[in-house]
Amino acid sequence: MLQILKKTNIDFIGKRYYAFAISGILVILGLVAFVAIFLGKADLGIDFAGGTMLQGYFEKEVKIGELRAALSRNGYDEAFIQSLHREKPNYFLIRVKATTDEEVTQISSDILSVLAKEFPESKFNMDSVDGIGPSVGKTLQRQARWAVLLALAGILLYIWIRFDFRFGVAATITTLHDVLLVLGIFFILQKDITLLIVTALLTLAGYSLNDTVVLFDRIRENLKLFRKKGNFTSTINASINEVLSRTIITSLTTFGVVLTLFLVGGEVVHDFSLALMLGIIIGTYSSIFVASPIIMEWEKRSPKRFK
Amino acid sequence: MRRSRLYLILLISFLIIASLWALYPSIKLWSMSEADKEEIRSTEPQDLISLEGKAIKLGLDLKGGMHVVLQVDQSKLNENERKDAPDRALEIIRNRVDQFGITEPLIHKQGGDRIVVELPGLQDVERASALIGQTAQLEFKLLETPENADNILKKIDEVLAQAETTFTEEEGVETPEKKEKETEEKVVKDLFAEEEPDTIEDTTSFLEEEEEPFYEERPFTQYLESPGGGRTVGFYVLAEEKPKVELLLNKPEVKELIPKDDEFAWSTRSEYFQNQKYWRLYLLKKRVELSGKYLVDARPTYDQFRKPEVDFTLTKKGGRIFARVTGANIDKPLAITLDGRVESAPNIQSKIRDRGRITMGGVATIEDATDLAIVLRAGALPAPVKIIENRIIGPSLGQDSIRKGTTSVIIGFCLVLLFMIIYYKLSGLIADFAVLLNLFFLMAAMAALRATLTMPGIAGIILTVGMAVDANVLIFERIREEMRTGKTIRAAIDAGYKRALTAIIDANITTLITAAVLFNLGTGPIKGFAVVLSLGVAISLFTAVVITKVVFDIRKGYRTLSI
Repeated sequence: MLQILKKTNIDFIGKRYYAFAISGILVILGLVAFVAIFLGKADLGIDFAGGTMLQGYFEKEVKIGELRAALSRNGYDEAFIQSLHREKPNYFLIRVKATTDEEVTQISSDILSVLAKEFPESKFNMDSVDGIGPSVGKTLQRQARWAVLLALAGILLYIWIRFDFRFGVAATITTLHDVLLVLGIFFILQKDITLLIVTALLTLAGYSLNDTVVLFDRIRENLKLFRKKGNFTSTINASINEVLSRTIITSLTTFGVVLTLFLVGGEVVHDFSLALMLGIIIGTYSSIFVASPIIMEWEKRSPKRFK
Repeated sequence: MRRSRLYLILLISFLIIASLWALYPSIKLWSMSEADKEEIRSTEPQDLISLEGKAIKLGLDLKGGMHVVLQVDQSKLNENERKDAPDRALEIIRNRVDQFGITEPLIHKQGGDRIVVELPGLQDVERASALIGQTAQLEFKLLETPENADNILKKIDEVLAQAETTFTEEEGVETPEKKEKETEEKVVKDLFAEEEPDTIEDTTSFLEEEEEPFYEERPFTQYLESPGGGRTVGFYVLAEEKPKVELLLNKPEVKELIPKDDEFAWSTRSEYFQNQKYWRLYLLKKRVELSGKYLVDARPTYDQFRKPEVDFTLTKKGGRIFARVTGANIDKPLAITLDGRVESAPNIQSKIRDRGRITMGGVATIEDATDLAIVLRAGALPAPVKIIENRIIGPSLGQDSIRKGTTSVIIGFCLVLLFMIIYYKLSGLIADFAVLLNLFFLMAAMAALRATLTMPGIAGIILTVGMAVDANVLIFERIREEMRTGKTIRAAIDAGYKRALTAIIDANITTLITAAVLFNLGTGPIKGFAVVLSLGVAISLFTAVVITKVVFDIRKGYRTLSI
């Protein structure tokens, strides 16, 4: 029998204070990101903020500096330009914010004519255009906000029905913790928050909960078994150790496939898979170091099961 | 026991056959080369269309194409019109797109007053946007008489000149420049005048007066030219000066001077004289003599000089009105406007009844004429629409995404399969078989449900592969644990499946909840992801639990278990 882990007996709960400190800092960061997004300070992608994004390549060499200079000469000094040379040589992404719906379609044709004028000997081949009016962005923002709330509410409701109040609260806090952490990291990395990122956040919420649920399931099962003997903390520790190999194997396989997506999936799903990878790591960590200690601390303060 | 296992095996066989049936068109279509497709398209186009209809649909992000969201502007409609305006607009746009001849367009309403138009594989973006985005309100209007027009222009000049003298000091820097330009223009104009002597009537217009008035007195009309010489229908404005003219026309003091029943209108297309680009500005009477609602048909044709134009037919009533209007205005120009811009303003040569033609000014192409005929036939939109979202995905980007997506799925899949075999031996192989079936059923379900595969959807497939083995990992780890406590193989397998089941179901339901929410979140690609994820997770319950159990039930009798 091949085993990643022999039978372990690690005192996870004993390390909870380190975990609380690390998580606390990161959660605050996540909250900052969250507030920033609500105030419109964070880098919202054009699908939320409205704007135009062009993607394409030049047939001959064009340096990113030349492109930037050419665009700012023509009134686009605030254009965001990214080189996507990983995909193809001289491949660029140009993003311009728009303030009115009407602008959105104009900007793309205007930029194309600017590029044709400024780089006459190197043809620009357009691969894709995304023009999203600010009014569409507003609608999507509202939808995304509702989606996040609904998903969390739905998950909560299910956990509360399946488990009891304390487990429900702990699972919710853990899920929020995971989402906020990934959001915080994206904020630091100055990644754009797009609809696809929100999708990734919701998916990882489901995934992280999955991990927590498996663990809670085992804790509950063991609590029934050990009700008469053992103490609460050691029961939880034992449960974590028992499911540990499963947790790690599942995380590994899922991480493996998402890493593949990150490496070969291309630009479209790049940030999406990054968010998922972070989510898998954080979700695994949090079910052990956040969810379980919450249950334990709660029990310590107001004993319910071992009176 | 034996009997229920038999039923289960029958059910699984049935599902596999049904899935093969559902997937057959997709496999056939995808294994066809482009040349084969072209051949069928030319010989049996219906076959290819029905095959494409049955195969798994690819989203625009994979296929390439154009996605446009239109907002219907209902601000000028009354309560009654508002009710069905978006629906009528949708029908008219559908009509236009159908006539344009795009295969598999997708047109639907979104949230009350928005219309989503998806055109796969389209190349000419500008043309398509114009086709679906214009209101196509056709109107025939008379022009203001030259005398009145000159009077109005003169007044505008006077008012602006007055206003300008009060500002001269501030604009002092600019003035000499302008003057220089003015003299240049004069020279150019004089040259023209010599080359082409005035042929058209009425040369008394003050524009051509011998003595050019001093610049300050002509702040507006200095921009109006007649490059062909003589009096023209409408005034020519250099393309780069169009914004200046628009600015002047928008000044409140200028607006006041334009009579209530007159309006300025620009030409639809620009024209070239001596390599200079010009727009034409017309002074029209506001009164609509005839509108497009009396139109029954419109067809693109060429005139005797091979210039494109559109022939139209009017209803009986429309014909009567048109005959009256044209009869009373012979030898005068009649402006044909589309959405407030002048297509052309030909002279009425004789009385016209129910058949006429729209000549197209500027450098019109036959495509312009075709599109004009299409929008006229389909009718005007009940309200103007504006494009609020416009996404274009080039076909090469879509191809790229398909290639990268497939590569990731294959690599990710192999990783998982390999890991499971190494870690769980024969049991791992059984789990691998379950994941393969999962993927197979998933694709079949996509085909059967007519679901659309998008790039995030491909990501969903990869994620499903990763998560689907989770159920088996849970079960196998549990069996290992049970065996460690000294249970028999039979008891360990039973306990493993039974105890792992609650965790598996819980975990999958939370994923389904998120997927359900995501399905309702807006756009196509995300929907594609939600569909794949929820189907994949639901199917994994069957493949990873029920199907592997059949095999494990057989293995219960074994003396050793490879796990």
